[in-house]
Amino acid sequence: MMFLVHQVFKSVADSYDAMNDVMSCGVHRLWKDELMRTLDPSPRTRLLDVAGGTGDIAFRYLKYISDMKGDGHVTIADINGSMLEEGKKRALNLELNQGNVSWVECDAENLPMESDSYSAYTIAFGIRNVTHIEKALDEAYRVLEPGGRFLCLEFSQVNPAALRWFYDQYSFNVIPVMGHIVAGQWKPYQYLVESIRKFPCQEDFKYMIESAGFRCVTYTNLTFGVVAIHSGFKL
Amino acid sequence: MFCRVLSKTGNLAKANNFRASFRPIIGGGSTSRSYSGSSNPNGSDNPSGSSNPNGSGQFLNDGHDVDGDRYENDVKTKILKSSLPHVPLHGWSRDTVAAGAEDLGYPDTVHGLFRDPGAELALYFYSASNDSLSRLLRDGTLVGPKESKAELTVFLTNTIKTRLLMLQPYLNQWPQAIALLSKPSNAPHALSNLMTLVNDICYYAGDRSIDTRWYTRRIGLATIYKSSELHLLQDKSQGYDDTWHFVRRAVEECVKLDTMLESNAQLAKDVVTASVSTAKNILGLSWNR
Repeated sequence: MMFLVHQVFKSVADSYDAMNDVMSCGVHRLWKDELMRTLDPSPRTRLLDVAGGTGDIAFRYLKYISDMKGDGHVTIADINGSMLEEGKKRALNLELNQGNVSWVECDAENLPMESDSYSAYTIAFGIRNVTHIEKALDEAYRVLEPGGRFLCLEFSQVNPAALRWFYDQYSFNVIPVMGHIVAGQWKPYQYLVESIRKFPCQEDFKYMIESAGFRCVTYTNLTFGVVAIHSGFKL
Repeated sequence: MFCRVLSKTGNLAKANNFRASFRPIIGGGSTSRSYSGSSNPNGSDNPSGSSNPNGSGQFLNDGHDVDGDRYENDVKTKILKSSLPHVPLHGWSRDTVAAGAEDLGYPDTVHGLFRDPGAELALYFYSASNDSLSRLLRDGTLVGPKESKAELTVFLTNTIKTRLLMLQPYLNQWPQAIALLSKPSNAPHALSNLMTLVNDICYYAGDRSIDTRWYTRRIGLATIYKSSELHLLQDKSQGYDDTWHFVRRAVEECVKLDTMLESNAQLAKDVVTASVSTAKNILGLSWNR
């Protein structure tokens, strides 16, 4: 499983953004914006973005706080070196202050960070690919300081059922084909669709987050539950 | 797949089993954390043992963690309380709550606990002020009236004055709070806070009415309070003397009106009955014409 995930993301790293745009009609950008609005960080926020190799969340954070005339720091963790390289390339293009970003290649189930060292932990479209989700949640709980916030953006269950049918047709019949055409790969996108179906639905994932010790756990559905933002606090 | 398993169960024991099923993987309690919070008397890292059909008493039937909810509410209240001193600086806003949280050693992102931080802070301040007023009424600092209408007027004026003075530290920011509290999503809470306030005052003023006057008195008092509040915001006079005069006049008129309704209740009834009979006679609907 681990190896497969590694291969999948290594093979799609360079066409990652293009495929995301094609598959979600560009809406994934809005979802990520919404995640940042939900966090509503300040320059004092110490943010750890896990599975954020391409920097989608981290760059949004830096943009968000630069609008507040602040200067903050973000740590990007990803298990996949190719994704991190892609992100570093992008950071150069964006002319960001490189001192504001730390890149760490590590496993979400076993973070090298010290306990109680971050005020926010975000993971966008990443936790689905972790082998033991509850281990990753435990690690999130550990590295967050008391009062710290856990935020997860992930595919979820579409409601109502009629819409779900259309969504399923689209996922199984259109996405792998588009993957083949746009990125020249079939398998990774087949995997993507299947992993989305295997991931726990909103309520179940909420239970899992609570079981890791988080409190005030809530979730918000975006686009009829195609994705959901789960939020929890270490109190 | 998880979804299908859980949706069929829906009951407490299964839900707890579900939670418990994640525990073994988490691995030997490597992190020190209590599932139901420090306020949980059972304390330990035990997700309400699935062997116990009652869920060890921490959960209601809907699987709600009661102690956990109380703990979460305590934390929220603590944060709001420590935010109040920041109101003169940042107003009723997210920044105020973030600053209050940081005073307690929490990171500023904890403001996400509140859906609408500014409004929730204003609501908290409102109900906390109500509580302190009701304490003053209960312990007799503000003495309720005995017999005369004059005493009643003095009591109502003093009580409203005391309550209004609680707004004084935040007077410059209070218009913002009024705006936040009149948003449709917050208005019901604000209204219920106002009702609690006038209800307390009416009770300690000796009101035991069980007829329509129960409503008229409360509506009257709420109107006086709200208009005095607006008066206070505009008041530039020494020691808010204008406002206190305004309150006094309004209370006097209200007491007079109430007395009139009381003494003329029978007359009013007669007038209504007579009017209805006359109307029926004119229309030829009266059976004994």
